[in-house]
Amino acid sequence: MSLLTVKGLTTEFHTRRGVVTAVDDVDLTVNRGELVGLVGESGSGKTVLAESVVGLVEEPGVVTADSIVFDGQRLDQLTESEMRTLRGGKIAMVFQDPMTSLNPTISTGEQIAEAVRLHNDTGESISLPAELKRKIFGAAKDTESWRRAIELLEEVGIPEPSVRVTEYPHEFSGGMRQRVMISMALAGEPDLLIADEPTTALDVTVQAQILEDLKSLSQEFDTAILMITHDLAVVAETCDRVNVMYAGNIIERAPADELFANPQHPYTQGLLASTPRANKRRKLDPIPGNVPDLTNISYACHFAPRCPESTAECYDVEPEFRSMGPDHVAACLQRDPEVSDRE
Amino acid sequence: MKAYIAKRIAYGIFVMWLVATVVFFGLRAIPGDPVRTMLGPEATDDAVQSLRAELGLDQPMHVQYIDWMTDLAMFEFGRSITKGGPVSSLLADAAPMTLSIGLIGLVFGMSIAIPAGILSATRKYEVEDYAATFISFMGLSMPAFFIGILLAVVFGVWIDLLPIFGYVSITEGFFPWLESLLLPGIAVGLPYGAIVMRMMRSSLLEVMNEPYMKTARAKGVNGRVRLYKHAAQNALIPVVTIAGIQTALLLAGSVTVEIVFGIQGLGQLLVDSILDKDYPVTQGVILVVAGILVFTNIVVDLLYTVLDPRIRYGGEQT
Repeated sequence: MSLLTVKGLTTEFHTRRGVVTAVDDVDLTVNRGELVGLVGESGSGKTVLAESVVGLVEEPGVVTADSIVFDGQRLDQLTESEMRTLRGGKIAMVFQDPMTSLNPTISTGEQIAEAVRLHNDTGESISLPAELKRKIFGAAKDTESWRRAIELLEEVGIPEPSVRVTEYPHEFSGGMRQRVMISMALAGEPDLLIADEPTTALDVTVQAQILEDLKSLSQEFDTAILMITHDLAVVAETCDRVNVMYAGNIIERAPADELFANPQHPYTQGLLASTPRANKRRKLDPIPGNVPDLTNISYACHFAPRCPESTAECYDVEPEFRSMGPDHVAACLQRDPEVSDRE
Repeated sequence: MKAYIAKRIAYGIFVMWLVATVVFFGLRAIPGDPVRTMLGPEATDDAVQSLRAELGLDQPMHVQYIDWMTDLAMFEFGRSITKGGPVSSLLADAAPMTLSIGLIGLVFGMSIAIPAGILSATRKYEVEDYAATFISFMGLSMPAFFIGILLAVVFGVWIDLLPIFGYVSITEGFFPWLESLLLPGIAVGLPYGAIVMRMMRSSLLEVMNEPYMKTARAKGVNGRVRLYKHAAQNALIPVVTIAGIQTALLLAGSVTVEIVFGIQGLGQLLVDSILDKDYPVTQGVILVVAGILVFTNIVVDLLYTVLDPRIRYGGEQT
């Protein structure tokens, strides 16, 4: 059953140099409890896509969509205050850099407890004076939200949670901070967790632990995860289905195993060829060129200039998704669609 | 923390000693003779010699220096050459006026600057921002004494709302005191507030772009709570630095503003004593001002520990 269905989402930034189309008419589906990967290079628009869904895009960004449906609710028709109750509640986010994503002047416990109060009925006031009082005089320790904060810290595997809850972010290591971020995201028992490069800023050993934690928490809370990453290893490790994004478009989607075994789009193939693998000593084969400037792209397939297989047609004809196998589609004119047309 | 404060105070005393030494020799390097200034051009050499001996100015420089240092160690500032009385009582009369002006300036400047800075940052490139920016540039580009003259003309002469001359001690009541110092206080507070406001604006704009502010948004925190609970404290950290450093501006401003408003504060005393070559008074005033600045710096450093949980002094285990 689909939890999030995005249709025709476009996000444009109106800058002095022109209109930057960061996300260009994208469809995306996340099913309940599913782990979905959104993969692409930096600048491919994956973060903007996720932020557009939850209404985090700020001026001068403009989001338009045919529809964004989350749990039967049209997100694109909600007001900012309705959206706010969803954000951090049913849809939570974890960001890339836990070093800078936690507020240095608020205790970790209070940062988690605040999320608890906002999205659960704890009977505690969340008015500005009440919040300022907590900020200045410290959080009350005998409240529901504080107890829940300790539980959440325990949930994500932080030792001695009742001690650490009063500590400030700078007293935590990088991996621990990311756990704090995750516990904050879990405060509203989300149905969808958007994890934006959750392991990029961490040591490799910590990365693996965090990914394991996310997977098991996803199962425990029946939370779907949209995993945004540039790291194919992360996708291989965690995801059920993968969306590959390039220059504002999703260009291929497939189950994770299928994608790694049988990549179809030339960009996906290039991406896999440029990823080092420990067990196969071979020459890395990087994709030539760079991600294009997204201001006023005039050609149809955004990958065409870098594509080894592109023809004149690629510059003129918008590539539609073609079925490449069960549940597998790629947007490339150079691929013959599979006979059994599925999408 | 206690060890840290003790260290800071010891360091402050060292700074005061440096200031005292530089002032002592610096003053004596300025050409001119205090005794001749005092007695006038007609004075006989005998009279000059005897007064010089009486004041101890006939002693070699190093003996004078050691004498003065010994006095200072006992909080004695010596006697005024031209005015006769002990320097400490002159300072005790003048310092409260200057401190009062500075304090009113500080309170006025801060209470305008912080809200204006917040308004300016949250309404960036809107009417409120431009208005606050315009006023702050006015404050930045006009010297305090000029603002003082304008204020005196408008509120003292045209509207006749506030006194423009003299000082009423706080012992005669809070409101008479405030009334007598409001205009000079505003005159020094406006340029001060202008700088603090600019800092508050840019600091808050920077904090608003920090990733943790996005975290707060993603958590569903509303705009006002984000501003006052999540952003304000972080934004204040650099503002406190600037506000502390600029305390010197408050004091410098009050020197000239005192003259505009006919207040016999430290500024007036300093200017008079330099013109009269009244070494002990000049030295005393400069030491008091240096003391205020050293004290302010210690207060600012301690404020950091309140504002920023990452800062702890004295190797305390956190």
